[in-house]
Amino acid sequence: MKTKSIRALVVLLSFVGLAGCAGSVSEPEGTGGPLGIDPKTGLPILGDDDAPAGRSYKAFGGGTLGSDRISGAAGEEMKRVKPYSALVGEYARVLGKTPALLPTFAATFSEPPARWFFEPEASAVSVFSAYRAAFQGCLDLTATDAAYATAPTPTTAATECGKFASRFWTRTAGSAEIDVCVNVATVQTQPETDFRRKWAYTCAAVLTSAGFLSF
Amino acid sequence: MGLSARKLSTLLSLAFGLLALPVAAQDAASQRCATKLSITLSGKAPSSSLLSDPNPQGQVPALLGLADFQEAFARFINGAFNRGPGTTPEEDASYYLSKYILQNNKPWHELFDGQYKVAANGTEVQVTADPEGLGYFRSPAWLKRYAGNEAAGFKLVTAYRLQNNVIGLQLAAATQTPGVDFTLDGRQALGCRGCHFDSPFALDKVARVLTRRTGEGNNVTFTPPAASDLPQTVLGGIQISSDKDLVAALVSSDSFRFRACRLAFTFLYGRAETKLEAEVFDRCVDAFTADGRIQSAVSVVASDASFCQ
Repeated sequence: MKTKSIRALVVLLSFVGLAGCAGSVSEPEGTGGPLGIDPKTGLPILGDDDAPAGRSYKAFGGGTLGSDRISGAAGEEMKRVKPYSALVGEYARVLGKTPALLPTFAATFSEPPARWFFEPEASAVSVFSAYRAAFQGCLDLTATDAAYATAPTPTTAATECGKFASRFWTRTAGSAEIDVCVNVATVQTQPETDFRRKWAYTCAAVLTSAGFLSF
Repeated sequence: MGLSARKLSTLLSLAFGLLALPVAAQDAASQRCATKLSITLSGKAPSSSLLSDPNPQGQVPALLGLADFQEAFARFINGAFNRGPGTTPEEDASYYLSKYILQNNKPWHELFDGQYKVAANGTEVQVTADPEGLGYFRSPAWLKRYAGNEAAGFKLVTAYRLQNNVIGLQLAAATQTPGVDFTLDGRQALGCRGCHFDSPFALDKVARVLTRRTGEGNNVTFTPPAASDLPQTVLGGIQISSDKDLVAALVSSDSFRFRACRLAFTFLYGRAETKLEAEVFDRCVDAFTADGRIQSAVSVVASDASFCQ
């Protein structure tokens, strides 16, 4: 079981990376005009040359405020890691109930002390814990539906992966994302003999990706 | 000459965006927007009513009136204004007073210059009216927390914290460098005197108009500044004779308004504004200047189409 979990985590981490990069754009600055079309929103990705200068604000003793503003395309640096306080409701929203393990993970997800705030950050421990909670929730989610009573095939996996993505990410998965998910379902879970657990692993991989853990 | 970012954004949205999206995609976009708004403004998952709203950004004003936002923003401010959580609740004076300001719809500058006191009353921390108050800057626990340890009792740490909290001044302390001379003579040396004596925010000059510290820890007491030290000229030519004068100059500046909107961006995005967001930033400053409420600053940024793109 432990071996299976570790194997699943390895698969998961590659999946997290893929989902986290989906739709992001890295282009040289100063190209002028839109850098491309964001596949998720359909909106043009604008570069610095498109940025209005904005007003200047006077600093004490002369000088101008805002000179430290960073460059970059619109839409960059938009994603943040969901805090524990939000995950409690978010798991319940997409799974129908909160995984029983989750309340024990407040410290793992760096829940800040009273009256305090810090920006949540993902770590190997928090991602693995998120995967454990997701797998527990996904075992329930795949426990009775007939769709999960047989082993995943490339066709059924593609269908169910799309459903998982829509449900957990609130967006349609791209073909590359579906391919990775299908690989999880049909290849990476081969050592697992229980069909429903195969689906639960697949479900958990999608649920532990950046599409769900960030906003 | 060209289009403003807002107009451009609107046109592009019409050309490439919402009108071109199928209904299901519009629903998904609205739900993602609802999730982002809810987690950002309250730290919690979205309510079912927000999730089902085709225009969740229309609910921003209502969300800013909820207790969840007041709690989240007060925590954020406390985290931004201090190096770490207080060792006692009353040391987190900026948390309590910012929450009070939000709950009572007060102008943001009162966080720094309002006639309040934040102090423990039994097991609770309360905000009370105090004619001698200066935001939370004269509240006992805050005064002690940032009294510092300068040998002659000049409150250099307080001088920095006042300016940091109100306008976001950032200085790197050099007192951790091995062998550094942090006496008055040392602070006047080349390399130190810039921050301590020569800059518009000169810490030693500001500290001379503040009360002076005697003792340490719980035994600390404060005495008025020496008459011979008053006034001091700081902030690029402004004369001040007290902490109140300093704060009055700070909150009437561009730096204060700029700070308010940078806080709004940082709260909403987890980072400062970018060059591309200058136009939204300017509207944020306009809204904040118009009514003085930090909620107005946050509302402009959170309501802009770019927030949910």
